Amino acid sequence: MNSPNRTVERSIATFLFGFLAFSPPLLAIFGAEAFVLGLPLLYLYLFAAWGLIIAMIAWIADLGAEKPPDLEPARRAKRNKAD
Amino acid sequence: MLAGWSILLFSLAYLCLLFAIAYYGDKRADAGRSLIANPYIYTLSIAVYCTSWTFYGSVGRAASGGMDFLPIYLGPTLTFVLWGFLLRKIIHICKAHRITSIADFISSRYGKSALLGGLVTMIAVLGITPYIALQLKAVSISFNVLVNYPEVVMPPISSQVPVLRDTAFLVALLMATFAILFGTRHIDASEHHEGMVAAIAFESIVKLVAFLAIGIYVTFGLYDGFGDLFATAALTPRIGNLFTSSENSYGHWPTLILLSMAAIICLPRQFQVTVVENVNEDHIRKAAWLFPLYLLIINIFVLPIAIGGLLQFPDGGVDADTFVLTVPMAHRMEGLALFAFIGGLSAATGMVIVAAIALSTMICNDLVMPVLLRLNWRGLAERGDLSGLLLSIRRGSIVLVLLLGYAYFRFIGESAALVTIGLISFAAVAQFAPAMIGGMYWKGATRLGAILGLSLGFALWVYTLLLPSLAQSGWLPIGFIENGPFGIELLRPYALFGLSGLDNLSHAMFWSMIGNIGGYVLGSLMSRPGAIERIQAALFVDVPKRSGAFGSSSFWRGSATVADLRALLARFIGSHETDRVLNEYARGRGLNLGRLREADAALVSFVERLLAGAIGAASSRVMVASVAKGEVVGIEEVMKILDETSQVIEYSHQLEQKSRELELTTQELRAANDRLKELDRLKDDFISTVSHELRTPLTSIRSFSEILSDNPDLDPAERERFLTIVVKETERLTRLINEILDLAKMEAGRMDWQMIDIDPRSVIDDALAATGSLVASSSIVLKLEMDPWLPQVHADRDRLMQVIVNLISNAVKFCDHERGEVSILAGQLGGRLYIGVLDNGPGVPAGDRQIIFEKFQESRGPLVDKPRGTGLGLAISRQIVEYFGGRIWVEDAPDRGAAFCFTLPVSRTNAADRPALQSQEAL
Amino acid sequence: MSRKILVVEDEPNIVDSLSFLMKRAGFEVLIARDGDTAIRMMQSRPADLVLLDVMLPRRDGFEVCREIRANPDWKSVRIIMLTARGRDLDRRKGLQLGADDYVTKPFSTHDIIARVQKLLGPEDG
Repeated sequence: MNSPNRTVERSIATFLFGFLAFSPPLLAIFGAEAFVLGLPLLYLYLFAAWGLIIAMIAWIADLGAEKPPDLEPARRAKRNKAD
Repeated sequence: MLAGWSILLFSLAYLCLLFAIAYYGDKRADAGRSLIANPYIYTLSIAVYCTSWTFYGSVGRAASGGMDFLPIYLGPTLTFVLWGFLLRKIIHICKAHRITSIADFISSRYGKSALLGGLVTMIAVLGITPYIALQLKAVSISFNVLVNYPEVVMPPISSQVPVLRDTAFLVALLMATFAILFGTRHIDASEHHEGMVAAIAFESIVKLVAFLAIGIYVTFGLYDGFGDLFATAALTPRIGNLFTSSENSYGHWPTLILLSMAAIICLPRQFQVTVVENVNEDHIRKAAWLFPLYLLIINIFVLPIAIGGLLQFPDGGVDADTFVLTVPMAHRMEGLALFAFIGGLSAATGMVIVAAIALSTMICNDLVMPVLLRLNWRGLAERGDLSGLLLSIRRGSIVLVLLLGYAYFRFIGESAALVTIGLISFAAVAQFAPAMIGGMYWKGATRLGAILGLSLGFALWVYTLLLPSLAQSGWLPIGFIENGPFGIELLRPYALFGLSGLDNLSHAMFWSMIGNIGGYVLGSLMSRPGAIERIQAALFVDVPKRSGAFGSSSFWRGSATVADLRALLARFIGSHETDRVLNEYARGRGLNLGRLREADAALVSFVERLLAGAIGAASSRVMVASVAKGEVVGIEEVMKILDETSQVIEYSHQLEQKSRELELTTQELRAANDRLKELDRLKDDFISTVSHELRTPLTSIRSFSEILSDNPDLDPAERERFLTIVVKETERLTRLINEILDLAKMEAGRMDWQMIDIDPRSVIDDALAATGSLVASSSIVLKLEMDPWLPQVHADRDRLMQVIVNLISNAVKFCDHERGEVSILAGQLGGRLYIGVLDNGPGVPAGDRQIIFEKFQESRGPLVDKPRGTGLGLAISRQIVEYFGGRIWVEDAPDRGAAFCFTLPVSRTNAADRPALQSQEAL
Repeated sequence: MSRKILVVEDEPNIVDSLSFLMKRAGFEVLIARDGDTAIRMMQSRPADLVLLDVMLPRRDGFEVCREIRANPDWKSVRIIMLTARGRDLDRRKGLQLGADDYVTKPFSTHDIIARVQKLLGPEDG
């Protein structure tokens, strides 16, 4: 499930999300004169979106770091055979 | 009290600490216990991306452009999103080819072209010069601001000060010294500078902590947290507009993001720390999110500090680029101000040292050495130890780079803001991106394309960014910008060919990238790659697939002696190191180099790659060629062999595929043939069986008819008996023919089914009536157990009755002769109608339970002398039940005998019916 | 002593008709309903001619034929195979196994009596 292809697909999706999140039209929307929790909306939005992307990179990298999943059944099968 | 000398002392002490760390790091590396072999140090070293630009410049930018400082950090984040297949591939390629710089990378990809390497180096040096100037400016300004403590006074313009007394000049010399100490102590074949990396990582911590300290002080010390700060700022419209105005334009953000995306891999110093200094490919996995996280953290307080500064100095007399320093100074926070200065110094020093080392490697390997070798390479090759020469070239390059930076600062950069200067550099190095990224994924890209693209892109960068910046500084007439050169409006550098409406940077990026990518693609499409280019292209693009095959990717024809190669290596990396690596190589392959005279192609390639680490791919090629005894390269020949080989491989691959296909087809045909044979046999069997079943009653009929006809003298009783047999056998024959026809129709799907909703109770009653005479003629007891309520089924009434009649007659036939007993059960089973017919006969052996439902397969159970049926009843019953969507089977009856059962799906109308019936009953 | 004919056939009506016909023609008739019984009866009271159906329960006609031919005591026993399967293959197989004649059902009563008489020859011979 977490084959290298999956990692690539997820990375590209995250990349596109990031590029979209920081595109001028969205920035114009969040540039409105508004405060949330005492912070300017744009300031909050930019850091939140940024943090989300970083979390996604970490998540994708972490998934990719697991042992290749197809190894596990193979090992089990071997064990069963040995039994 | 902060006197000039005390600040200087602090700074020197700090730099010495850095050097101590670097020294310790190198010692540890030599001892084989690397200090930097973990992803955290690796991440911190990549954070060399954050320079004075970040430390001072971002605040300055935020003070006038709000969040405009941010895209420069979002771009690298997005690049790091793609680490998995971009950064990792670059690192992989560089490790495999011992690539030591971005110039080396591009030159190596396009056939180890010295021209391309030189071009990249020149662009890099010219492009980075403003960036280094930026650092010098930041350090010198911050020093000059701090030295006036506690007064906040803007320092004089340096061009009014003699060069030798200019702080910036002194800073440049100091940094050159440190860069030389850090980076050029010895020549390393792998070009790793572990000590430097450790020092850079330490610096990254210092600048982060310093910046956070200022930010926390401003936000929580001067104000009551973020809310208070922003609320106060919002009272002043000029400041409030920075972060809340919807009038702000974000059109240039994509440009900045793309630019910084390219910069994070194309900047020579980033390439150095991220790629060249990488010690473990897997570190990138953690750095991929830790580095963006570092960027995020260091940026949180940029806007608050900018706002704090604007509120502190409302009259605009203080340069916003100095707020990090001047805000604590204004509040007499002596220690904090000094810490801020050290943080800024850290940021600048880190950048300058790494950039200078990276550039000096490029200048040495890709610019100076190739030229020297070309001018007099035989003489050079004959010289003894060249490592001294290499070190001198590098040291000289470092000094040159810093002096260039100082010159730019002194004569051009003085007036511009830090960020503006930095962006010019970004735009220059971004020119490498097409050739670099393209070369990793497009095999068809050629040397000509890369040269054309880089030249065009660089020329347009000079024209649309560098020259205008010279004009703005007064070195060119300002009319150059306003009216275009020679008054040609169409060529105005900020509105080339009449393109207006973009900011200067986007405008420059648009044109330079059109020229760059256009030239790259067109040049590549119009030229044929040379032999080495094709090999290198394949090695770069297919790197993950071929990573194991690098050792054998040689295209040397071995005719160099081991002694020659050893001597060559020793000249560049020293004889001690040479012995070490060669022995390691020999051990790895089980060779004895002492006995080996002629080096094979693999060893020649190995030496070439090793040497490439020291002097770059292009130079290394020339050097190795010099000892390879004129047998330079049978490249064309090798290429031909390669081509032929790949053709043969391709051909045999096709053959293999064809033969696999043939085999498959044969198998399919054989299977089809077997199936046909099987069908033929079944048909044959069926016809033979039908023939047998029809001929048997016919035999009786004919025999008895002839007997009756031939023997008129038979006694009446016998005559009567024979006639009865004839009649019975005729009936049997008729029944048989009808059933065969029925079955044939059902199997062919041509049966007329009258499907209606039926109450099974009435069908069972009718079936009992139809078999009444049969039962009555024997001594069989018939029992009936029916649920009071049976669900309706959707079926053909006559056919359903046929099934029940078949089962009852079957049961009658097989049940116990003496005390025969047949029970009929009807009810529900798992939401279906269930009907079972039980006898007390011998039962059906388990092995026969499937086949008795086949045509003409009566169980040949223990009962031999049994009455004969047609052998089709059960087969027909199964056809019918299955047509209704049900299932028929036989099992053991509870006591003894067989139980033939079937279930049918209930009709859909039932669900509504039953409650309705109940409610009617209730009424 | 009249000659004995063993009718091996599982279909009762056909047994009925054959035994009637053979008795009328002056033979003594023995009856077996399956292959095993047929062999047993041959052992206890060997017949001069066997009317042997092919499709029998337990042991089919071919096997019975082979077994009779394998026993040297029964060398002179005549065998007529009866079959309802009109396949040429069956006919050849029967003759190969040593059957003297082969009759397809439904048969003509005259024909089968003629064949029997021809195989057994004149009564006193």
